[in-house]
Amino acid sequence: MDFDHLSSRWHQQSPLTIPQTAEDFRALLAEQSKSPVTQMRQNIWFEIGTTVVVATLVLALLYGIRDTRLGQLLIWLLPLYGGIAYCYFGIVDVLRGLQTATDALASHVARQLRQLRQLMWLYYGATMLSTLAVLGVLSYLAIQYVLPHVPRTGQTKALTWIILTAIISAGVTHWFCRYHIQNFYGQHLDRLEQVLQELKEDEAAA
Amino acid sequence: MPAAVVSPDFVATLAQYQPLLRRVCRLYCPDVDDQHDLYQEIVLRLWKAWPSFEGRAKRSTWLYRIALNVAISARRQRQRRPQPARLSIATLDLPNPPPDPDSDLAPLYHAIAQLSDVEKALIWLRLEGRPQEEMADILGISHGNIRVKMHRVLEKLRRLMGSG
Repeated sequence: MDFDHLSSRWHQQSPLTIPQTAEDFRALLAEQSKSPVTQMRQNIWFEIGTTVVVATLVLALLYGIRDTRLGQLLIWLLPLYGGIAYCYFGIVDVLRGLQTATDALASHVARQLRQLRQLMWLYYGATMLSTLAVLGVLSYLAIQYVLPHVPRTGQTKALTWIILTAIISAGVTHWFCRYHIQNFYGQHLDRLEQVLQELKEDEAAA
Repeated sequence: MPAAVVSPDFVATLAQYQPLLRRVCRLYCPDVDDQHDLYQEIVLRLWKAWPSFEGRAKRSTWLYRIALNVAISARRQRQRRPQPARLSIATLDLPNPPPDPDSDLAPLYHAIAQLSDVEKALIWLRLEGRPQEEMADILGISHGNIRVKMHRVLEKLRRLMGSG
């Protein structure tokens, strides 16, 4: 194998149709990016908007029905919403950081791994906190407004069902969330780990 | 996306370096659509990073770094796509496509496809004719480590091309 010949042939490859002018580059940059990070950034703003709308609707509903325990519920809900907001803005920040690529490959990959792991935890946190908020409100509404209409003899059983349903739903969400994150990021993280390991190999010997 | 402001300097730099960007895309993505997506992503990252380019690194080093970082850290989206059903030109009754002017490079691409991401990067930089000091800067590893790895990967490529 004559590597110098290959190298000179390599440079003579016929170019594909490529943009050359400022107009061509503007058109290329205006194309919708298909990068998963760009799509995730769009999705997260949609999720933030949805969460704000749902939270406002829930609070307006509770205020509208003049619920006497609204204050107690808010004390419980506000830290949850605070946690959700922290996770969401953390995700936005990490996604912004993931688009930087000017470091040397080894530090770039190490940073990407750290950021992706952080992103996984933030997604997990946001999902679980949202689930707890939704389950909490639903359980509260069921206990406050449905349970009194159940005959007194069946109330304990109904209460048990409500609590069990909430626990099982939280468990299923936890399992599904872990599965989805592993499925979505697992293979990619393994590949980046492998790249980093391979880069560092022989460093001590060299 | 609103109309991007593209400086003449940026256009001139890209026009100079874009053949090498195309080559790195082809190296990391066998699929033509993936190559286009990756090329667009690299150009987008270069454009975003352009205002912060301070000239501390050589322009070529800066550009190689971004191209390689994006190519390696991009999630491979099409890897798990099902292969399309086999169709031949004869079945479709279409005229023969023009011969590929780079068909003599097919064995090289085939051999490179069997290398790891890091090995591909080393071979790419070697084929592009980058000196080992610059490779060390781009990859973020020591000069000595580059020498060891390069020796090994060239042997491997030789073997792969010999057996192909």
